[in-house]
Amino acid sequence: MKVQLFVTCLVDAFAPDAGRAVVHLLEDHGLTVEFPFDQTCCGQPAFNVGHRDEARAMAAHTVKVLDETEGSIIIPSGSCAVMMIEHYGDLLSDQPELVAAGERVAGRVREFTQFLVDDLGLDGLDRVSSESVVFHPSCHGLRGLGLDGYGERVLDASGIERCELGGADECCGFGGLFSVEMPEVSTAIMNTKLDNIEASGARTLAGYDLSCLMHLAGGLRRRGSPMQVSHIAELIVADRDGDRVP
Amino acid sequence: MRSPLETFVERAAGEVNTPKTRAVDAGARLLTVKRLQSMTEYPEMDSMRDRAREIRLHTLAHLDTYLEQFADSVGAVGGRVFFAGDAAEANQYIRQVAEDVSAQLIVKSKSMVTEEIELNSSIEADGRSVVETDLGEFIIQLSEDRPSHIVAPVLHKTRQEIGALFERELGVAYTEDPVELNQIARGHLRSLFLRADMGISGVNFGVASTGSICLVTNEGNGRLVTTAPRVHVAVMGMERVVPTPGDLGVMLEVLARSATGQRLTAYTNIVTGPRRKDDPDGPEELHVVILDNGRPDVLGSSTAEILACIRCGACLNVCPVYREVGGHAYGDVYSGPIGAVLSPSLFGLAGREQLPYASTLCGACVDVCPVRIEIPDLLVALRERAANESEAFGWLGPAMSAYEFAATRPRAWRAGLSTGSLLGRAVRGGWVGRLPGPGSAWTSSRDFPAPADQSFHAWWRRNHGT
Amino acid sequence: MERDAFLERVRAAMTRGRVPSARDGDPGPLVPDLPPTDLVALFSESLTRVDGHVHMGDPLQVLGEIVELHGHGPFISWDVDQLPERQAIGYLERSGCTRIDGTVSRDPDSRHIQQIGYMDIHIGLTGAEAAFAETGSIVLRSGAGRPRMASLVPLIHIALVSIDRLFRSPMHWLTDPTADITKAANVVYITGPSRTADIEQHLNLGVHGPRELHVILM
Repeated sequence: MKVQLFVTCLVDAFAPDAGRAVVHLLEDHGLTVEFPFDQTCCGQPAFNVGHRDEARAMAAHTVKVLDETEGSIIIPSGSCAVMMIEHYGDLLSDQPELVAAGERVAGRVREFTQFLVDDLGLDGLDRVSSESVVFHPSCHGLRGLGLDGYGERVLDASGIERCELGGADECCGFGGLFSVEMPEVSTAIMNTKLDNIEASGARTLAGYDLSCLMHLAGGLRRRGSPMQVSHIAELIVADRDGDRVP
Repeated sequence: MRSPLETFVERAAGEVNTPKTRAVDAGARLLTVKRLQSMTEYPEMDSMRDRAREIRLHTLAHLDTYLEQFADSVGAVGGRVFFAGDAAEANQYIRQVAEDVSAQLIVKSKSMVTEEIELNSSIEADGRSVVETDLGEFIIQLSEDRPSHIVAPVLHKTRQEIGALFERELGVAYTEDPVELNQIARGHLRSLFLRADMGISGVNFGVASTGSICLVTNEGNGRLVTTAPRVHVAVMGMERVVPTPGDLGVMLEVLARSATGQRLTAYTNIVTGPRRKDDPDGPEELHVVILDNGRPDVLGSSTAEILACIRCGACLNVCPVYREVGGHAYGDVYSGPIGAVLSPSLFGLAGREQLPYASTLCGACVDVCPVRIEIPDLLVALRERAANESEAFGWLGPAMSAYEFAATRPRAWRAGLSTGSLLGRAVRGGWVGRLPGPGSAWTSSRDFPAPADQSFHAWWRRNHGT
Repeated sequence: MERDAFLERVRAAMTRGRVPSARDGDPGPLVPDLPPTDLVALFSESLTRVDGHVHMGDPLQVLGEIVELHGHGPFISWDVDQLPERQAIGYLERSGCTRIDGTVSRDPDSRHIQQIGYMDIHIGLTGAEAAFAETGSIVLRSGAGRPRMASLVPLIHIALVSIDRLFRSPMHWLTDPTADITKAANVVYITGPSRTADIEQHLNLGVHGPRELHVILM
């Protein structure tokens, strides 16, 4: 069975390890993974700051690229998944030729942990890390997709030692471009989250949204914390030969 | 009334990490816990919230009909209705009523809409005295401060501040014991209630079919203000009407639970007209001022849904931004997520361009909203308006244009990725401590990751081809 | 602004039609589907939770105990024929309490003088139209012989409530044919004594209204 990977712009540029882990896991489950090569960004950054025309153009591009393919569209990001599911319909409503395509695409979208739990089951996960992990459920997946407990279940199924996170359902303060529009506020919210993360006692922080993780990892480093930060896929699928740059 | 600082960002930067906002955070979190407890013990809450939303949206969709019906009903039970186009008209009418009944002393119960129209200063200009009687609002008035929360106005004040204030302004011995502070306020306000000539209240809900107005309070001041003085003036935003008593009942099911976690507030006061023939007490006159003040513009705009709000304050309590910056940073009387939507919608975006951006779009507000207002969608709608009318952040436009250019041209996109990887290889340790331009806002508190040596696109091409 | 002009502005805005769609027509009141329970027990539990006191047994004896505890001062009450216990007023008067009937003059000056006299009132005695088990509330309706101030100015409010006026929840009462809120200029649900948490979320009882609420179930 074919599935499509929409890797997201942040994973593409900053965390390709996470994308590779997703590919390996899907292939381990006997799926044929395709990567529509002309994919770029879902348009969420522009949409969220009110630049609708730019967002519409990116959505249109993404829909055209993805609608030519078949199978579930796996996205290692709750936030980008919500963008397609919740907003493409409205965004493309004045482009009649794309409305149906947008709906088809939205209907095929699955966030990575969602696909893992709901479609694949939780068998055969690797336990990559021997260290304890704390999981941050990002807001868009948590509230937009209803992924309450998904990441935690995935980690538990892999046998990784997991620490509880206080205030887990609270925002980390990233908020997309909010993080640079209002850095003081973003940082204050982040510090509350980082206090909870550090208090969990875990050695590694995991999540399903690279965006929040970049923000939290940057904050942890600035604090001088030794904590590792990983996309959840990297913790349940071991790296393979050929993954690294030669 | 508006803060002298120009922008939300400037005000917010001054508020974060202060004792004031730590007090707000603690209070907001406590209210969040109380709300959650009351939700958990009441399984009917979900269906009540669905119905509450239906009622509010239905009312807004037929607002002209229900307003007419409400006005006729108030008249039928002996009340007088005044339709006020703006704050000036509302204030002028109320001043005239005060003049007509020779009111010297006026008592008020807590009302956000009278804060909105700045009624107090307008009344005081005529040499009459007007006293806020809600404990929180009384403290605000004494300290010449502004409310920082639509339900709990002094969430930002500590008991020590209030103790010092009472000592200074009321000439009592210093105490920071909340029980004693409460007794001082009770003693001070008691004779004022009984002597007052006129009482002014807001309206939580107006019932169209009966002409009733409903006021919910905990302290009892709302009842005193509407019972003891000879004249009662109620000021109501035009959207606060509901069709029937049954609809009012549904709203009451969700209001207190969402606001404070109470099943009902201590007093749910339903007033239908002035004192009747056989009534031993109550006001001789009832005036209801229905306020426009820009609301029709909201009703006809992309943020119309915000008029469904019932002012419970639950969205403030869960909002990560509100918790860190408090209510004053928002610059207007309405703060938090509801304020970030309502103020620019009602008073205009000019000077408030940044307010719609004062949110991470985390959606915690929608989760707790008793009428399930899609606040993040409304914020994005206002951001669109800002992007078209007056950009809140100058760099957003050029940045989004450039980004869109690359993101709609796959070859340009991949070239950008390759350039990123090249730059990334030059960064030692994989992290950047300092970025230029808007990026400096990121690195003020966070390191920034260098792009990977090999993008996912590059890896895929190497291993799978295109 | 003229009413017609005001409503015209509203109508013009509505034609732009930006309110999310909702139901049309009135689907009727929504009465919560709550499991059956012992209403008296639930009422007691609910009122106790909000710092009210519930009493059963001989109402006069209970009255006596409350007065004994708080001293004999002036009291304001509903008229005899408005109370479910006709001997209550006489009983208080015989205990040495003076009654104020709570009728204020329609003349502004006399009204002031009468109301200033309320400052020292100790006890308020009322009946109740209904009570809600779910919330621990009592419902008071104004009208002849029923001063609103009786439940508002005293430090201690005592309400005599017939058990047969207990309803499961506010919506159960509102949908009852006897509930018509237009029958009175004032209907109030009272849920415990007056309270505030304005100062650092610290609970304080008796802000402006009564500090104690006693409900005697009859």
